[in-house]
Amino acid sequence: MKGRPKKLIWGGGLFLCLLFTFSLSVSLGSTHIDMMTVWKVIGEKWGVGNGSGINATDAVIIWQLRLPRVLLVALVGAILAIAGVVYQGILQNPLADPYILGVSSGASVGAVLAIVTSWGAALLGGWSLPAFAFAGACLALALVLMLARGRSGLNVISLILSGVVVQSFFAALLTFALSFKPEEMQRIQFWLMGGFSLGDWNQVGAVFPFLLIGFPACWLMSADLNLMALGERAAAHLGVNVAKTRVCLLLIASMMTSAAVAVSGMIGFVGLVIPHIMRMLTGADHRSLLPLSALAGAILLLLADCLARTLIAPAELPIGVITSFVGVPFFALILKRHQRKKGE
Amino acid sequence: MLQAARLGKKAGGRWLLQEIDLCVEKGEMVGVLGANGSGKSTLIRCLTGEWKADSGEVRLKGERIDTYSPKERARIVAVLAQEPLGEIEFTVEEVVKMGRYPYQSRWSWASGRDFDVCDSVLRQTGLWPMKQRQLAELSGGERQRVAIARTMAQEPELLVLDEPTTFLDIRHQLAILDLLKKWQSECGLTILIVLHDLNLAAQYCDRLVLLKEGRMVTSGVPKAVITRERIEEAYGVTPLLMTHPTLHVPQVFLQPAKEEKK
Repeated sequence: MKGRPKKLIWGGGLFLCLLFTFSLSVSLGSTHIDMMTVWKVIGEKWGVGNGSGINATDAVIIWQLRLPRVLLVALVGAILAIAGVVYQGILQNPLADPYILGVSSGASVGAVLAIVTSWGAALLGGWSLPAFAFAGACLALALVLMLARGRSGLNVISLILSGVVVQSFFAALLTFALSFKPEEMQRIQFWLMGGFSLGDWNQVGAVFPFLLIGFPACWLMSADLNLMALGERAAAHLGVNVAKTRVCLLLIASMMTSAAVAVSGMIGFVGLVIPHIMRMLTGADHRSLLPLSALAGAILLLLADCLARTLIAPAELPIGVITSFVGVPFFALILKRHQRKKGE
Repeated sequence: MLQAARLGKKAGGRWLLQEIDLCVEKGEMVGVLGANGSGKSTLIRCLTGEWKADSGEVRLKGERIDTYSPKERARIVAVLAQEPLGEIEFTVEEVVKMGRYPYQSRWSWASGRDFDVCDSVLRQTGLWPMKQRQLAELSGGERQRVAIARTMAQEPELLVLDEPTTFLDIRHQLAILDLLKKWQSECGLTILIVLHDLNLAAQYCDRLVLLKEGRMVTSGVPKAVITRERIEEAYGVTPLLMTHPTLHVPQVFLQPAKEEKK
């Protein structure tokens, strides 16, 4: 099977898979609730169905506790995967990902700064956290790009090294902040490894607009992203405004990343693993790669969250631990493949 | 089609290119020759609008080249840069379709005409049977053919190529140049091409331009450019010249340096 039908089937399959992991994720927990009830509760809230045979406690657990959290997980997963596709496409670097590039750590520092100092709270109100996170993300990305840009453009390995250096610096800043405010230990720890234990409807509302605007914006530029794969010069000769495209997409991806980080902390490797898998399965055309990666990113993070909640229940693992367990071997694999290709 | 007047380009206080006057007429194939570092690639970058010249100006169809928007320019000029296509995870057809980018708006992707053009290009270049193959599976020669097909899909009036045959064996070199020649005669395409091989340049180009240290040594028909004196001046080697038995253009023979007599 070739071309369009194959991609549509992948899209449909992934969507069904997302619905399934979504319901599985809501039904899992200290009180087990079966999947049918999950959809009955959602149906009742939307005014479909009459809600007969639903236990009131179950309804509260689902609607107030689990649903916002699970939605948040899915949103963040989709956002991180999209950001990964964009970073890899624009930087032409197979190892790029918001976490590895240090963008997530920059956003974390921004977010922690906003919380600890409550600067800007008067002016920006509820937006001060994402705004600070975005500023941190942009600062980190600018630093990484400045460090990595050599005479011959962006080298794959030096970009990763710069990412590591910048990330260590921002992690040190976080620890520094931690030593001033030991009472914030719990919360700062949370930023370092990521987590959704604080997820509620407000946060879903805060992140959703970023996906709603960010995804179509990236998707509209998918033809430009495809051409960038030919190399910057070739893209320019085909009529792409390379500088504008690069700045636009990097800003959008960083903004989406910082929105995700602001609610969930640093979660690594989703943006690395998903674009690679989807590219292998369905090809590198960004018009299909972006939506399919968004779906797959949501699925992967939902599964990781299920594991994080159940492995050492009733306690909970930081979700970043799970994604790192999956992502680090994957990273090693891609690095090796890249070295073989370049004969390094 | 393309004119350069007193074109100059400076980098780090040194002139890479100086006082270049060049005129490429519609429908002709002009070859650019010169030793390594003589400014061939710099000239190409300035002529295609990729770099801004530090002196003089470049005019494309009578208008200054920097007045065109990137997409407008890409509808007139297609460029095949020196770097070969990498091992990217696209199919042959997808890469060829990228050539249609300058004709597409952000809101509508591919029209029926885009598909027609791509299909005909794929057939003309003999890539039709392998259009679903991944680029990474192809050989260097096939990949270069895909790159040329992409520029054909761009439907340019002027095609600029920077050493398109460098990494290819003789069979593929000839195949690529024959394809260009056919395209030139059938569609009235104008071609500006940088070549390393003097003999191929003499065989295929209508006119040649010879560069040395960023200046133009001479330009004209192959017979006028490929002469013993000019080659010696531009490359610092002394060639033997003969006329091609069937094409009647000058051909260069090289000889090992003679040992100096004591």
